[in-house]
Amino acid sequence: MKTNGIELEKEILDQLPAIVLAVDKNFNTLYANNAALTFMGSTPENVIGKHCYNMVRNPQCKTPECCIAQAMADGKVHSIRSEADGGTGNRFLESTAVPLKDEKGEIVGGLEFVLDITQKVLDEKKLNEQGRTIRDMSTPTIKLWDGILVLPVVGVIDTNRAQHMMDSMLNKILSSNSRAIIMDIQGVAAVDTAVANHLIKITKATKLMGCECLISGISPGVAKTLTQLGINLGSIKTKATLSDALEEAFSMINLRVITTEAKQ
Amino acid sequence: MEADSFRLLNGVKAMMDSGDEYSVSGSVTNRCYIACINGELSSAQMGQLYDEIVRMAEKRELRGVIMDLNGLAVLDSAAFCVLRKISGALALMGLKSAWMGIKPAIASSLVDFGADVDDLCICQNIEDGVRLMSFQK
Repeated sequence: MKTNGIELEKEILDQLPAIVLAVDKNFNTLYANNAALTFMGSTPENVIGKHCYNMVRNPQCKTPECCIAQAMADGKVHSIRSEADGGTGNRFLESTAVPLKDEKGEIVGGLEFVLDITQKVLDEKKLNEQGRTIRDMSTPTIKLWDGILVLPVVGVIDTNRAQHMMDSMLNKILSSNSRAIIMDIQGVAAVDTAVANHLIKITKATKLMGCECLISGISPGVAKTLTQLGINLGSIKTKATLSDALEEAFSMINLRVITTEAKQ
Repeated sequence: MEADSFRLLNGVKAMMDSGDEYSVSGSVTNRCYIACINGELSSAQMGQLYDEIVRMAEKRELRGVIMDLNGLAVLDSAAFCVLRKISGALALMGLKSAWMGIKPAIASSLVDFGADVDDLCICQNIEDGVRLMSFQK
């Protein structure tokens, strides 16, 4: 192994597992390290001085999405993610391109280096899946009685979750032909204008499906905030506790709870 | 040649006109007219729907009209307005009207664009609707 000079730098670049590729302004290859040569399945003689897009053949080649072209056009760093079919299944690659400049600072070409981010992408996918699972778990619409549904809400309501809650409720109403749905928001610590609007929207939408929406378990803090914000929930039926709401729901579907005599 | 193309043009025009023709399909039970509203309607067809339902209400001495929206995949604001107007006109004529079979997607889009849905009468099925109609206020 050489100990100094350009040769050493070249050898280091060759041992780098990431693909490194340098081109001039006309996309003629100036340099390709070992990883790049392996990727293209070629030798230095067949690569240097040839057009890079004839050897790489990415879907982005010769399109405005090519990050080297973008980097050379505006002199900034550009990154792009792509999927390539390597020998060992699909690999996800992240290509980053920077412009190459001469002493005067004028752009004379571009340098691209490609990292294998398969593990990162797989982790991201797993995270997304888990996020979806948590979201599904956080909006369980439960059938409490024939014609009565209940949706216990715990935690923070944001726009995404409110939308998901609404979709889940409406679909459940459709499939179960329910007359009343109780939204129990005892576990919701704070409510702001946006959340209140979501609640109003949800009640309106359920009403359009022919199902009355009752809200139960509004905590003192939430009630105080709602009145201080000046939000009018007058059109929404609210009950103190889940059992009160259930009683109201029973009366909506013409049922009544009675106490039977104690067994001897 | 010119006559041919003229005839062709007339034919196409006639076809388009007949495509614009809209007749409500539906049936009367218990003096309630159940109007099935299918497919996306043009504004002209919406006008015809309006006329047809109102005319039907007068002719058949109905007590109420149930508008079945099960066949609609989307409902835009213009169509929503026409349906509301039909409900309003029926109310003026002393008839009750109920909307039936609104899909979840339509319900959420209606509240998203802030449609005024507060005083609408909604029913889940025909049985419900007929019962609603037969209640004396």
